[in-house]
Amino acid sequence: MIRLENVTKRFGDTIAVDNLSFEVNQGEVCVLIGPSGCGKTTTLRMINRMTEPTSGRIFINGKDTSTEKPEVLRRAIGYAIQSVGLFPHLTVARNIATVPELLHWDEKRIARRVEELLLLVGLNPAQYARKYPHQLSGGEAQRIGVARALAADPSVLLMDEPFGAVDPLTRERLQTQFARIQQELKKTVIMVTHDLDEAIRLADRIAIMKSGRLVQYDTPEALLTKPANKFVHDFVGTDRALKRLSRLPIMPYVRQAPSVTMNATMDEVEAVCRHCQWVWVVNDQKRLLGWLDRGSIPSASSVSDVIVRGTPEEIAVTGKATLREALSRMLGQGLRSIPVVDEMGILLGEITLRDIEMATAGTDTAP
Amino acid sequence: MIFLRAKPDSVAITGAVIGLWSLLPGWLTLKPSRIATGTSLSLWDSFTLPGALSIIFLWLVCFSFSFRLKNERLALLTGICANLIAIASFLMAGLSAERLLAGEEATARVSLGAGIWLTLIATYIVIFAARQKLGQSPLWKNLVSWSGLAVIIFLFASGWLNELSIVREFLDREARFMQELVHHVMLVGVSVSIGGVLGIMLGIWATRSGAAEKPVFFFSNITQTIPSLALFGLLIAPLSILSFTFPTLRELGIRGVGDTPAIIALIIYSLLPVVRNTYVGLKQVPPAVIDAGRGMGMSRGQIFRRVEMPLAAPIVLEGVRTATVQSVGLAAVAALIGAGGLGWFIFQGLGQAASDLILLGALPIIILAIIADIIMRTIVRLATPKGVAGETP
Amino acid sequence: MKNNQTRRWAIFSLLAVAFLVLIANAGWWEAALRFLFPGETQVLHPRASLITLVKEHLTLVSISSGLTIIVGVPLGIWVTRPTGRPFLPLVADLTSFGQTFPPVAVLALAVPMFGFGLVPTVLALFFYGLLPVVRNTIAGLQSVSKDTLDAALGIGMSRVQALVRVELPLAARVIMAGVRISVIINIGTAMIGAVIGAGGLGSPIVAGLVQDNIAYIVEGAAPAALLAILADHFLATVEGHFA
Repeated sequence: MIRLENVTKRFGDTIAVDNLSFEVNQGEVCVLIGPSGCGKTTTLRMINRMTEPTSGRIFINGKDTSTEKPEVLRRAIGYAIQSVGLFPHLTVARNIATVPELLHWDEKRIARRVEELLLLVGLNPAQYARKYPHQLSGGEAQRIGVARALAADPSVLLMDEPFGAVDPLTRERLQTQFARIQQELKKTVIMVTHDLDEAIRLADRIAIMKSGRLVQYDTPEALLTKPANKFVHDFVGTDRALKRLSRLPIMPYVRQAPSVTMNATMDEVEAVCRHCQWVWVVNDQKRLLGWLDRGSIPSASSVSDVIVRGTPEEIAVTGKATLREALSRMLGQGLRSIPVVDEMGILLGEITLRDIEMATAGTDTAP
Repeated sequence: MIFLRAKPDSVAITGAVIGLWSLLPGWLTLKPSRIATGTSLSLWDSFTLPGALSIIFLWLVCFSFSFRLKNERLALLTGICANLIAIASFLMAGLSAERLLAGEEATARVSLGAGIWLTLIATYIVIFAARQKLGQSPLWKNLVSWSGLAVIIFLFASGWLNELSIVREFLDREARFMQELVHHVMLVGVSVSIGGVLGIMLGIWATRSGAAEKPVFFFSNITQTIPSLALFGLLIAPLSILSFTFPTLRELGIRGVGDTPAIIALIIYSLLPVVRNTYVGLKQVPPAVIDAGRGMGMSRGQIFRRVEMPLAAPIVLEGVRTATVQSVGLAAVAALIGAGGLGWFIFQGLGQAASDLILLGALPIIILAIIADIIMRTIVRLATPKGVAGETP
Repeated sequence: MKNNQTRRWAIFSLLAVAFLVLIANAGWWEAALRFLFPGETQVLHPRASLITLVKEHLTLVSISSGLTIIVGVPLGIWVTRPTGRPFLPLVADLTSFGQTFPPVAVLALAVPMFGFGLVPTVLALFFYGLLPVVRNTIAGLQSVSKDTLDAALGIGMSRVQALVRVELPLAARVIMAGVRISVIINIGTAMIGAVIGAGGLGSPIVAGLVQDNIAYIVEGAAPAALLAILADHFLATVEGHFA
């Protein structure tokens, strides 16, 4: 884990970082965020001594970073920057292999590791290992930057706007990939970004900085529900409730869904849920086929008369979605509740607008 | 006729026109001795009628083909035709020289005249035009570019051209020629090596230290503007004084004139291209790459060796190439101050008003410069890392 | 920028005046050379005064460079126009290929063709000087972006107007750089012209080498070096005007 103690950085008369102290626990993602010039990048670069603190101390796993030679320290820390900085004259494989080579790993081990990492970031080793940086797209280059940072299996990862230089669609994909990798590897990560949505999505804890000082250091939920002051409140933005939704996974809010099969009788439909407005229709394997409105039961003789067909892709969300996606689907379909399915389209349950309202109650209050 | 329909190739036609025009001035010059002025012989006098007719015929063929160089086949034929003209010219020059000298005194000489030189220039132009159209097939392109030259070299090596005055001149002084050639290469080699290393060091220093940048460039710029002969001259004075005062230096061979000032001056001249290119080469390494290297834990030395040097190498070597080609020429001037080398022949020839001797110096120097250029270009290409697009200043 | 330029002109004028004063006072040279080389009976080459030598040298350089500019720039312009375009690869190839030719070799080749004296020297200097000027003219004109040219033609300029008002001004700096290179090389090569009878500051040097008189050598070398530096400064300042 990482601990900063009263760290200050002065550039001449300017104080870039002012008496900063905080702690990042093992396996956590801490995101440093704030307006331009708040000192977040300087702070990051002090951790691996690319910039030396004017005063204060930094500890990694209990060891004072100033006691080691900078090069040795950095080889144990993964470092990924916005412009990636891939070595143009080396292949992708040799780029990734840089730190292992510096650490004198043997060739076989390096080769295995390179392959492992390329697979981890979702790139086919056979295709990419021998490519050169200029042949890569922006998204591919950033992924390789991350792979390179992870090469020597450091416990700490420092990232400075690692997903910054690509288009929004690629950026989102990279964030998803990172979240997945982090779930698997559980590194201690400190990331700098200016994108609040990214921070909320990826962070375990967020450190909001302003003018070199730490303003609030909390989980994203806490930041959104209990901003410490007006600055944080304004910084987080007025759509806090929506932002929160993107953090909340859907499964805890999923409830039992009333469902019938195609050959159910009208009485069975009636019986399945007395107070429900809609009933979902599934096949024998419980795959979603559509829904029907209970109001239409009296005039119908069979399910097939009144079913409104809909495929899982069209009307449902998967169990892996967030509340934000569920809300988006509801608004898009004009429904108050939507079915939740698994990857095969099998009905797991449903989620209603009311549930979402309850989840975010109390978020959007003024401080 | 089919010829008139298509668009003519202007370059080829220009070449062919020059070629036809070259039939008019004298092709060989017969002179009673090396330094006397000779009588210029026209094409048919030089080569006898069949020889002359064949050259005329080949040029007419080239000329008509130039009107329609559209497809590869015709370009190939035109190129081969031009090569044949060059080969034939030399071949017949060699034979005719023998014939013309048969009845003359031993001191008589036969040299190449304006006509032959013009024809050779014209064949170069036509071959160039043909090459352009042969872009697709490297085999034909190379054939057209080099076959003539290859045959001529073969003719030279096998003695066909021995009666030509310039070759006679060479044969008379073969030993001396080889000696001066080796000496010339030595002068260039030594000075470019030392100048290169020095230049790279200065260039690195200029990139690292802001204070060093201005004086380093100021010095190298100034020295580059000084005329070579002047720099040689300015070095002679202090070196002479030194060598005079310290007899040990004289024993070591360090004198006011000769190799010493030449090598020192050549080193100084090699500096600017190397310094400038080292500076540019290092500066163009993207800062993000260096930051990444540092962040990963590379030491300063490792960053320099593994990142900066490979990326800067092609540009630095381009600077060395410039310095090398430049040095070949400057070493020729150094012959004037007693440094030997191929320039010796030039100045001897100028002194004796013997044009063949001048040519014996000038042509090999040009060829040497071209060879040095080709070798250095290859080295630059080999040193360019695969991932980097080769962009040279 | 303006300040920089005025300062450079001021420095140049100062240096030029100093140079002229130096050249004019043969006595100073004599005294200095006698001091450095007490053993020599004659320290100044008797053929011509220093001023005459400088004049000869400058004449040589100006005539050949003048011709080079008059022929080279239009030639460079022509090969970038539609009529001359077919010749562009050839000319580009020749100029870059020709750069590998040592200037002294070109000068030497002029003798068998044209004999000795001023004319062959001027011709050789002219031809060799063409290379950087033509190459830079081509490069300068080609560096003008298509968009800029498009805009000019779109406004309604004729091709000639576009050339004169847009392309040439934008290419001027690069062309001037080529002229500068050409002139500096000329000054250097003209020194060797002394060997083939063209006069100039090379003659005392050659005489000194032949007669083993180092004072003569310095008499030629020092002013030549100063002249070259002065000329370079002048041309750099002019080049600065086209920035």
